[in-house]
Amino acid sequence: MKKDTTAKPPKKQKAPKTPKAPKELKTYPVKKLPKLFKKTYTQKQLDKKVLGKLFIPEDKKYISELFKETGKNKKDVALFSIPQDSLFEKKELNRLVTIASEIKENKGRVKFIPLIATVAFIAAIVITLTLTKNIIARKAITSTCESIFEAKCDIDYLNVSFFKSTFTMKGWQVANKKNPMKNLFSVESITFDFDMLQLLKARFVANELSVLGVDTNTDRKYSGDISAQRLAKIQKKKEKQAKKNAKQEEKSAFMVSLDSKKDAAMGTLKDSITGLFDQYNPETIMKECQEQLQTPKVSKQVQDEAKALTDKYKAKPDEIKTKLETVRASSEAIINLDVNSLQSNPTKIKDAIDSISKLKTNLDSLKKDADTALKDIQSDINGVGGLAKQVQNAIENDKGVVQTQINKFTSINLDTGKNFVSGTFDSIIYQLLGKYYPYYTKGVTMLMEAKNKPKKEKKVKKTYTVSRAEGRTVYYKNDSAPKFWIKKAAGSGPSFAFDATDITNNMNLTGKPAVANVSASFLNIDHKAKVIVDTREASNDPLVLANYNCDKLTLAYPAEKLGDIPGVPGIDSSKTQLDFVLKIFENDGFSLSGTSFFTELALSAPSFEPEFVYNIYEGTLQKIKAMKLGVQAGYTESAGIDLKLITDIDKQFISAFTAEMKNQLGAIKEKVEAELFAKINEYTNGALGEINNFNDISEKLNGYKKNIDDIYAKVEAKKKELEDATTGKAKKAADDAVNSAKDAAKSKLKNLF
Amino acid sequence: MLKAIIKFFKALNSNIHPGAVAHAVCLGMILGFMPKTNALWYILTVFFLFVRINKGTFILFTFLFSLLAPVLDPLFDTIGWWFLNLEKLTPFFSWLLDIPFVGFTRFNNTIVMGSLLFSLAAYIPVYWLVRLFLKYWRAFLAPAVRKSKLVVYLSKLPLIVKIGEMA
Repeated sequence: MKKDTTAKPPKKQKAPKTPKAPKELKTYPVKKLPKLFKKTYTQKQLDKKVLGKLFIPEDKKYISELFKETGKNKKDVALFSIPQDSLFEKKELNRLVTIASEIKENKGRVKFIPLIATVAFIAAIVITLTLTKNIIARKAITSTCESIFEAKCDIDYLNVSFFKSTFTMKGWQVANKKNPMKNLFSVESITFDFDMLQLLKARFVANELSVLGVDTNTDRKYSGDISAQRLAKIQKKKEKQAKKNAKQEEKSAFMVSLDSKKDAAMGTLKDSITGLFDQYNPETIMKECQEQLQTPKVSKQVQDEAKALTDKYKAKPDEIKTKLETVRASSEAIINLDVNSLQSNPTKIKDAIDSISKLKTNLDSLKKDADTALKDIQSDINGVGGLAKQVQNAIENDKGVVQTQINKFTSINLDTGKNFVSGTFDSIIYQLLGKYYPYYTKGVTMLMEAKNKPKKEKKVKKTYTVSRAEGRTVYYKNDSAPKFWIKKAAGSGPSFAFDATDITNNMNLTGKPAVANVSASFLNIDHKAKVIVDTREASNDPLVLANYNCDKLTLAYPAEKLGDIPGVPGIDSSKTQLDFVLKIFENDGFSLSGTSFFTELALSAPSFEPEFVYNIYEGTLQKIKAMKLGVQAGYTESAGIDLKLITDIDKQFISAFTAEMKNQLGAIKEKVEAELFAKINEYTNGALGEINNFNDISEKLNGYKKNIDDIYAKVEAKKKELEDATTGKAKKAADDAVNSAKDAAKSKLKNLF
Repeated sequence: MLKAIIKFFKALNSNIHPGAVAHAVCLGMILGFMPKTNALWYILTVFFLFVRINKGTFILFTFLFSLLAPVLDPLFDTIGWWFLNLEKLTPFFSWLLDIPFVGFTRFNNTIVMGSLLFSLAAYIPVYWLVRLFLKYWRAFLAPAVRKSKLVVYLSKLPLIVKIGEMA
């Protein structure tokens, strides 16, 4: 927008600006140029060192124009240089710096100095490795051994010779961590004769491997303990690894099957021993028997009833007795009265007759009491008789019960199919299978990898790569060596020898299975094994066929390892002979079959109830000193674990045990019978005692009644005697008086009766 | 890769020896055509690092030729198979294979041998073609291109200016 200026007074006009003089460009003298352009050259030198290294025509022309002839040298050759008074702008200076640097870069084609330095460096590494290879190998072996065995590892001499293609190690000894002054094992020498060419092709092919002077438990000159710090480090590492492995370990189908079989075997074993013998427990039998007895109940009832009756009549005999004693005392004088002496004194006769009258009155009263009591007791005596009958019936019944229970006790009929001892072997074998199964899986996995060579799954990276064709590899010789191949191996020692052929990771290339024979004698135990490993794809033979036998093996499996289950015996055999064949199949589990002979066998079981059965059981076990055991075990993914034990030990055991039980049971029966009858007696004692008390009362009353009757009869006789005396011999002496007395006496007697 | 491209263009328009650029293209061709799964490729790479060539051009053409290589694999296979089965050379190859470490080069693979032979055969023609191209480029084509309207226009673009500053 244009502004209106007419309305306003004109402003003071500014003086017009004078145009600035063009800024002088900064220039640089020759001394600021790169060194290359400050030098003086002959024409030849200029062409070679400067112009010959310029390939842009414009640059070449520019540079050639800068150089002017500035003089001549001693040989009268023209010299060229950039004139010293020349000035350059910044842009020119930069261009010349760039051109100079480009000229400098155009040197010879090969960078010899870095190349030589690199070659020298590689050579230095090779020389260092050559000089230190033995030290490195020694360090690697000792470190590995010490980590594994947690004890010192020593090597007297070690040499790896690449030129001779040999590896030699002498005086290799590994200490026993439990006994540091002894070696776990020692080897006099190990020699590998390997194929260097194959080694450089990343293959280990040993034509021969020899291991000599293998021995165990040899003496050491110094302690084999490793430092506590290193030991702690090793153990920490192992614990870490163990935890890692435990986390990774999943329960395989085999372990699940094994656990169920193991639990079932253990359960059967428990039931078969403790459950079976429980029925022969006298205490159990007595308890069962006591529950069926009638006497306790009947006796209690009878006792209560009898006691009530006894209490009812308890005071009567004493009451009657007291009265009887009184009457007896007063009757004594009358019964002993001399009637003849009274004949002269008729007044005394009268007194005597009065006394007799009085006594008879008392006797009549007493007799009446006794009769009443007897009558009463007689009415209850039938009831007491019924009670006694009840007790008797209960006793008879209980005797029958006791006999029935005791008869159970008289015979033992053990099922011959029971696995009293062999069941223990079931459990042991299941435990051993569980223990060694992880090694089996590791071994089979390794062999299967060797057989099928599954390619490791590479991590898929999302990168855009150009895929190339594989091409074809041309071989000019039969290049059939596998990555690892020991053609022949042999070893020996004072108590050890082995030989093996074709140990390799790829038997398809060697065309032969690996075969190894080992024989060893450690701690007076002879071991022999033959192992054939066949991972050839075309082979139908088992993956592993192992035949193992040993003699004089000490086999100890104490009962505590089986959980101290009552009756489940622990095994200790100092001379065991084993002969087993193990077959591991590619996709079908494994089978284990064989026989074992146990001599100097000792079986011992934790105690159980009843004690007498345990004593017989333990005694019978201890009598078994030898046994034969056949094992057929197998595992397939479809059928799980199958275990069959063939042994004569159960038959041996059962027949011996049954015979001993029969002998013992007779005495036990008598004892139990006596104890039961004693119990019945104990129960009935109370009731019968009360009945007896009642009967005693009855008898006493009867006795007292009889006494009363006796006294009465005697008094009656005495009375008759007095009457006779009164009516016969005194008739004459006192007719009137007697007559009157007679009358009086008669009237008195009349009153009396 | 951008740096390699910049360095290549810089080499085209600088006083870098044409041989350095031509060798870079040819060595890039050898490594680009050869498969990388063998020791020979790495040995050659290490050796080439000690040759004074234009590294940008070398890297760029190694990449470009490796893109082209799969198309030529059947040709390499044919050449390699023919060469490795030449009766006169069979004892030599057999002996060579027995030499320690030589097996790691996988020279007996048809693609490795075929691509190497093809690259060696093409080395001299490619070398001279590149040199010839450079000669004409630097003398005639570069000034003409530099003055062309398109290049003048492009050279003013901020991105191109930035790339130019990187060079």
